[in-house]
Amino acid sequence: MILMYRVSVFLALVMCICLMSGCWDRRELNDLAVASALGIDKSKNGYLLTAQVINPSEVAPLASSGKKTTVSILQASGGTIFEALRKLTRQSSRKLYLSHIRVIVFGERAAKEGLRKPLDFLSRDHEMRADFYILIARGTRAENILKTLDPQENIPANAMFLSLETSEKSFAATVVKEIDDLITEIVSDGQDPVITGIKVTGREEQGMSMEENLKKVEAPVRLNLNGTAVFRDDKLVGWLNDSETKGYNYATGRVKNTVGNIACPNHQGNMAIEVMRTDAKIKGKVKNGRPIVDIYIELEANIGEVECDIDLMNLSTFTKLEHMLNKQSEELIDMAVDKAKEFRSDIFGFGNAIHRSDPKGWAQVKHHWRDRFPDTKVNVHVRTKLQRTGTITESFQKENVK
Amino acid sequence: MNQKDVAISVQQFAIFVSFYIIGSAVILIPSLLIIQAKQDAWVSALLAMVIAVMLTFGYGKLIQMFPDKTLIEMNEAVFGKWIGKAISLLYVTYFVFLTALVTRTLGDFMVTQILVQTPMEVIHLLFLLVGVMGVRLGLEVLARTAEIFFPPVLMFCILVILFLLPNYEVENFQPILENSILSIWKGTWTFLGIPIFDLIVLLMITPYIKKEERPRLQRGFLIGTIGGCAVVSIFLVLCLAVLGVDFTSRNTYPTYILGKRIAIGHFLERIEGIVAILWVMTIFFKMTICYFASVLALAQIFRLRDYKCLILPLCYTIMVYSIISIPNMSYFRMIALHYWTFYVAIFGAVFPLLLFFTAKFRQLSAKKEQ
Repeated sequence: MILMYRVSVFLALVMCICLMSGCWDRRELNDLAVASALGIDKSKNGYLLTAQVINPSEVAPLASSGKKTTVSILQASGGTIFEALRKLTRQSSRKLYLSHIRVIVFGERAAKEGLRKPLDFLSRDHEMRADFYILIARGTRAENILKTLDPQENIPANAMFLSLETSEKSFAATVVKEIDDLITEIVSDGQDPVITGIKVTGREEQGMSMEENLKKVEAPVRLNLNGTAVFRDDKLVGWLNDSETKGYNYATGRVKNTVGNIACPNHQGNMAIEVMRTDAKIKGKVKNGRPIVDIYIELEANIGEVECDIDLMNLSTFTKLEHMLNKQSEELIDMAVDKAKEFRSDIFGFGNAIHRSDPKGWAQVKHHWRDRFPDTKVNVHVRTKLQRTGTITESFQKENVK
Repeated sequence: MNQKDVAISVQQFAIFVSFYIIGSAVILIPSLLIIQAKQDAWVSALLAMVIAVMLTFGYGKLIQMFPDKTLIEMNEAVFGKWIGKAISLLYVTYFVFLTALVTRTLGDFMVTQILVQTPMEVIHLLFLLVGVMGVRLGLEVLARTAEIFFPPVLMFCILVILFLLPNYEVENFQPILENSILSIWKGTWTFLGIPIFDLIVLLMITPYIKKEERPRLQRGFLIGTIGGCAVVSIFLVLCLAVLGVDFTSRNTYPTYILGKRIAIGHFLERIEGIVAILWVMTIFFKMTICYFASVLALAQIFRLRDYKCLILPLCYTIMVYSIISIPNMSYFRMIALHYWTFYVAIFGAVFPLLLFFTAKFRQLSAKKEQ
């Protein structure tokens, strides 16, 4: 009896070995081609998919030979993104692994034709995570962006990802956009998306070569975040410049930290003001059939640079500067709002704001919101709190004047 | 072996109830409710919770009337041999169906999100085999297992809630109560189907609760129900707050996506696997309890001395049923949204009410039997 028991336990354990030998879907690291970025362009009969794939041996600090590039490019076109993606295997010894994608770049033409269709796969596939950023190749094709090597980062996609993140945090002229938010904004009646643009400066062919681009102190070709693409629904309709983007970021409360210049009160030079913290609220309602939106913004700022002779120890100077800052931020926002109205694209989510605080009013304007949006009355209220002056108080510019 | 020697404590029972509600509901309910009630889905969930509490009192009354009887034995005692057995057989089909559906929920989830190339049958088989082992070992072992898994499940739930704190957006709830009462009620109705009315299955295990702890049974049942509903509701609110109405209703498994959203700095991220384990654990208990109920119900209908001989045959049945009962995903969603609750309500509300009033009418109760 005990023997029987032991035999059966033994058999059970042996069976466990068969069942638990590993995961059915296991994929070993050395079978994977880890994609760091995807580029999506329009092609004749669908999409041209460009994948930037990491060469693991070159990225590893000790094993790298320095002779090969750290990434290689795979390209295929297909009627759908998924098909194009699987077609890539014809060029690659390994199957593409998508979980580590940092950025996805859309070509400008593809963006003009609409993002709705290509986004479906990116949101449906189980391997895609939602933590990558989306960029628009400004004035060029996405493939050219992916083919450019970066002198600072081993993996160009990382360079794009990090520079987007850093510039959003400390300059606020870019907009970090993840796929979930993008889709929500496209689908939403009361908001349209914006996406940061990226550009290649210099001759594009040079940027693809290690010899020409990476072995020089000043790389001739660089990737440059440039402007913000405005969408109507899912189609690119125009671009915001840096100050308009800043205005957009102020109004939507995305500014974490930025620097702005204002002219000195006595017009001798400029002052740089560092914005440390912002808080924005958008309230909307419909009054007599006309949409009215109030934007309330609170800024906390410090003085960062002074080129002129002003009395910083005087309280009234501070009040004056605060007034100037209020006015300047209001102008920035007005600029952005005017541009958005020109494009008939509700990038600020005024529609959603009205929906939130005045559901009945929203029901009136909802169905022709696209046409009603341009005659929205927008009131901007900025309150700046200027706080510190940095490590010194009085500027020594005074002495110069003597 | 007399099965009624087995005894579990009220605390273990309460944990069972919680797991039973959380399992499968937590991955299905958020998107189903938000499709119907939009940003007011939390109202639906609260409403469902109130009804669940009332239902718990109702079931509690039944348990008080027949503290030593399972649902199947109650049927026979109240409706007589033949009608009772007929109703009981209907219950058995429901139990088996439910077990298969819960298994399928897990299978679909795993195949969609994690093990994409794996045949669903393999996942079902492995899952059911653990269930077979659990049911063979009996209720006591299952109860203790649940007790052991309770702290980690609770802890991870709290951690997920805390880790997602930076992503909350209150705006997603506005405007409050914009949607019609009807759409909110539709959400509640779905919630009642998955899993509130399913609570009737637990009446198969109430006679195994220790005699000396019986007076506290009602309280335990209530705490378990409220706890389970609260966890599901909290995750529903999390989905709303973090993912928003549109995104949640478009996703099949939003609570898993929640796990993907966790990113504390650049080091604590990609922990959706842990969140998945959480759901697998709770689904396991729901599946096993349903499985146990089916086996026990069948054994009691046919007055078998030992239920163990039924375990494997039912395993085959459930295995096959879990594959063939749902042809595809859109069928499942259609059933869950529009029809399922009506089906479950028959077993969770109509029959128990009938049972209750017939028993009252015939003045059958435990006291009289003594």
